[in-house]
Amino acid sequence: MNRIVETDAPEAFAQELVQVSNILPRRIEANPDNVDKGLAKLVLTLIELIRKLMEKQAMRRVENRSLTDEEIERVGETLMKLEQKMGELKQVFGLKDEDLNLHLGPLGDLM
Amino acid sequence: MSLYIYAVMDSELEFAAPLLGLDCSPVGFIACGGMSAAFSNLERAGGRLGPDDALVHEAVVEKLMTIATVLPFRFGTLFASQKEVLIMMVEHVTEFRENLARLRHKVEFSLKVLWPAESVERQVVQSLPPAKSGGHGLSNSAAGQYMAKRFGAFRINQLMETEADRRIAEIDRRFSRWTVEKKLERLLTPNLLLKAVYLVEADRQEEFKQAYADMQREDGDLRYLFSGPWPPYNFVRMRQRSEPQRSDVINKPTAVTLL
Repeated sequence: MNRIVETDAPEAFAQELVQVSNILPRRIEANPDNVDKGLAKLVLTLIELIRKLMEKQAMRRVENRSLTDEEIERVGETLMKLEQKMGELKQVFGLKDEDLNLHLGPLGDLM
Repeated sequence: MSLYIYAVMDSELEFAAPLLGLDCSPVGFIACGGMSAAFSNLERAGGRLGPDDALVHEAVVEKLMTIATVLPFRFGTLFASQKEVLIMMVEHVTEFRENLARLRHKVEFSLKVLWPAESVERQVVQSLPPAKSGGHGLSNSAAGQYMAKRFGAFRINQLMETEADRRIAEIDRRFSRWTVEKKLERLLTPNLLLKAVYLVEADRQEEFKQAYADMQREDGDLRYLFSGPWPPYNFVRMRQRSEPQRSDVINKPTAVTLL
């Protein structure tokens, strides 16, 4: 086959494609020494996913003006406290934001 | 010992010249219903495979493409015995035939596009009207301020996505005339605007390449990685089965280590 492989930015592509391949962990790291952290990472990733979806839905409703001022206040307080609580839990288990990342297809990255 | 599978092809013809696969083992063929599976024996402990093996896999598939239409198998697919390969072929014979008919005389091209996400975002931010205090019912309380901040980020994200869609449509339009099928993925990373694969009739590939060359010559802030023609790795469609069957070897190859 008369193949071509052509780019004007090889290093930039190499960097991005490494990121793409790291979007999902190749394996769940669970062993007797880190089982707590492994499980916490999994659970917090799921909680973060749900929190992000709730936030996205709330923003859509703010945009469409389908929330009353009181509802916005209440939603804002809930989301804010959830974010704070997530921050505390991440600290407890020594996790960073990027540890909880997932690529969600058409939804984009979780983080 | 395992059997390493390269591809299923629409021919029971054997390759005329000796063809060598992984570890320089000769490539053999298992015939079934007018098709055949190309394999070679693999005797490595644990079946561990590396980047060089991927190149050998690709080289074998390309050689096979010179004599037949092929359905390339995923790199690292192993079976325990010839009998298991035969069972797999019998179970999937209809799907293989459908795919072989659909992919006959077609090749795959890959296009990846980077955009300068940070500068696009700066332009998007500049285009936004200044936020009004109390706009959208957002108060000055801590919760209101939090919502205002998140809403600002949400709006920027929305506008970035709109701009990404506009640019992708512009890129895709150039290739649509030569394309039989395509798969487009948007913003897998902030900078990776587009990751696309296109299925193209083999005898239209020069026009397809020319469409890329024309796009690439134009000034702009996009960067491209273009490659092909490839065997149609991304366009083989296998149905998901609802119930596990006797030989689920395609999804569960034995002793496989992927890169």
